[in-house]
Amino acid sequence: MKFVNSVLSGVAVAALATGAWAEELKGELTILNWLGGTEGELIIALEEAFMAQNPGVTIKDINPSAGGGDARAGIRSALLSGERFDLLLNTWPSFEKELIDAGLLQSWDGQWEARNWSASLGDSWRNLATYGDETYGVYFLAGNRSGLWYRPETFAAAGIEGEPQTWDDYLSTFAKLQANDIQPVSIGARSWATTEWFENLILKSAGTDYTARLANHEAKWTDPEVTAVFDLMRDMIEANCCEATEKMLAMHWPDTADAVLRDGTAGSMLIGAWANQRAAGEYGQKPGDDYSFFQFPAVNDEHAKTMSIDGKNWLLMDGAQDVELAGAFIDFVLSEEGSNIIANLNIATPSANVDASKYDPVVAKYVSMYKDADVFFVMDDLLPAELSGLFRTSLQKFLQDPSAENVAEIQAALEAKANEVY
Amino acid sequence: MTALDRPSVGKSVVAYVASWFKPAGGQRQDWVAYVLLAPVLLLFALGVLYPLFETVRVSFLDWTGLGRPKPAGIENYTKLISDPNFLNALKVTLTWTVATTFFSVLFGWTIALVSGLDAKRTLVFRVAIFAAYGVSEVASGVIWLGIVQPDFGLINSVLRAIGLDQWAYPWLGDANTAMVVLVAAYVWTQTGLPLLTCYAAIVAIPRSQIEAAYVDGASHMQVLRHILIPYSLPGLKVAIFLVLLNSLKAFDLIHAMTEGGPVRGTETVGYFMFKEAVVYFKQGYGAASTVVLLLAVIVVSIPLIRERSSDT
Repeated sequence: MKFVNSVLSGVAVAALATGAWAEELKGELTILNWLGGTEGELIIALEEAFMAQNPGVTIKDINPSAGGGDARAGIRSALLSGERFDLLLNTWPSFEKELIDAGLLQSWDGQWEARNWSASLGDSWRNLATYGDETYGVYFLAGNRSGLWYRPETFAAAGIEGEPQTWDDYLSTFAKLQANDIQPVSIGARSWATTEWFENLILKSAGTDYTARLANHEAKWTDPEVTAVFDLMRDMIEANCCEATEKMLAMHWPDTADAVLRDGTAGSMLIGAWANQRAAGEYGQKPGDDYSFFQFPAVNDEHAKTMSIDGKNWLLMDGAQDVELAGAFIDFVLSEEGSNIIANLNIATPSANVDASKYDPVVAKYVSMYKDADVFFVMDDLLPAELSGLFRTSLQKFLQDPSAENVAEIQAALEAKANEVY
Repeated sequence: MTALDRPSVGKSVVAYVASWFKPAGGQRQDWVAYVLLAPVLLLFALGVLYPLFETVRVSFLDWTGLGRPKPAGIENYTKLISDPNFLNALKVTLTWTVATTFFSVLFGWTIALVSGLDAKRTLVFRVAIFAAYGVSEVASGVIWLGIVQPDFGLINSVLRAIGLDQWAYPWLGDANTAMVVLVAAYVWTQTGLPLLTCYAAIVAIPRSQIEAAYVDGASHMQVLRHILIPYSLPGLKVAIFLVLLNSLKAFDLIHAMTEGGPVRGTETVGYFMFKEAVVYFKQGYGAASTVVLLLAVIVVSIPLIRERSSDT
């Protein structure tokens, strides 16, 4: 069925490309859209622009229930209740794989080749959504998960010149900040934000290949590479990097953004592009001047270019009513017009058609880093949900007791869970 | 059978409803009762029995909610009883349920008794306490988050303002203090319920009986001990039962304030169930823990149901 769909859509697009353009697009496209905030506004803006361009097309959004904070629960409920839709927005590769295994998605390959999306998206983005030989997702949003956010003013006042390039440089900033009565780092460990530290440290110390093997459980959680990451985190704690353990466990990442970017009581914090939205939107700060970020410092020179990223992509449901129409919409999202709608909202897109001058200086800075980076999708989103849950609480346990004995227990528990769930 | 002497369950309900339509000297029309009860029975079957049956069925499956479920036999249950996280959740649930029930009922009952002595002067107080019962648990969680926030929360701000900086603490970052805060927040929302049931029992006492006691020279303490406390006991029993059930089912407040953390330190069985079924997508395992929670609720309910049945 998938093969037939791919062939038919390929033939149809080929027919359009050879002169049948005169027939305007018609029909209805249904999208399961669970995004909120600025990203939610973006999807609406893209839909409206596409409908304005194609008056014969209507787009219907289905908004699933929140599912207790995890949109996957709402998506599952929608699927279980028999809700029919053509496109699904996704940000979890592990969930994507589950949908493929359940036979709920169809490949984009026919549309990809016919519409030449490779001209808009680099191979690394296609590879992120390729399973076996088929591509199931088309990325249109991208985020930097390796940015350490800070206020240049705070660093300058502490006598820190330039942005730390290496791990040792970074650790050396701690004493300078402490001397200025600034807590060097703020970590919100109440939920998942600690995983960002682990993931960046393993990428920077062991590289993307090893991290991929660990995420697929081809490497073991008891490996020395994993122990080394806990050692690096222990170095930070012993250097009095952060708040007291109980305070870290009581804070979410917005609390750390408040401390670092709004109040200037802490030096830096690690989180994705949400920090940019919060600083510009809620604190009214000027990107690049009032706040900025530097890439996570190099631990091992060999892996200095590694970068943790996240992204959102479009998945094509197996029962999609009109694959052609869905493909045309994605084509629009990746086009210059679609990409610039995204950029105007200051959200990064991996599309090559974007006019980068529309970004604020902070977004422009991290988009420029994608070019040479050895990117890896945020590891926590690649893990099976149950292992991800244990990964998060294990890092909380580590903060409570960073001893080598506890680390050995944590690693053994993670390995045991990985053996159970893969 | 009078209007106040209603049947509790089963055939007696049919007989009771049918008796309304019994012609003088004629036979009881049971079919009328069945027709009248049909909508309720249908709704009960759809809203309670079917989900219950489905939950039990799913508890014997290995299913992520996508794709085909696989039969799992009793594996979910055997895994559950050896799962340290579930055993921890049972322990947390016991602490949580006992603490929240005890304090909510104690405060509610005490306030009801004091109000029974002087209804007029305690009116505003009663309304204020009961109003908290009307606040949703999520809203209550948000309010209490503001109270215990480490840097700008009310408690720590007050402590710092009076020079007790060393007492300021990240209350939700430590499992022990987080549990105390959760219990306090829940008791705040629940105290209105025992206040209502106990006070309702107290106001049902004939006023003449209390006045007669005073005329005979009884003190407030004697009125309290010999009239108000004994007459409030039926309301107290209902309050214990309802608060206990609410506590066993509690979810929203925990989700809003601690998400079961830190390190699963405030994770009750209800929250464990949510995590397994909704966050980790283990529908069968989550359903098995739901069945265990349901059994706990039934066990807790049996004494009250038996007592209510014997009353009728």
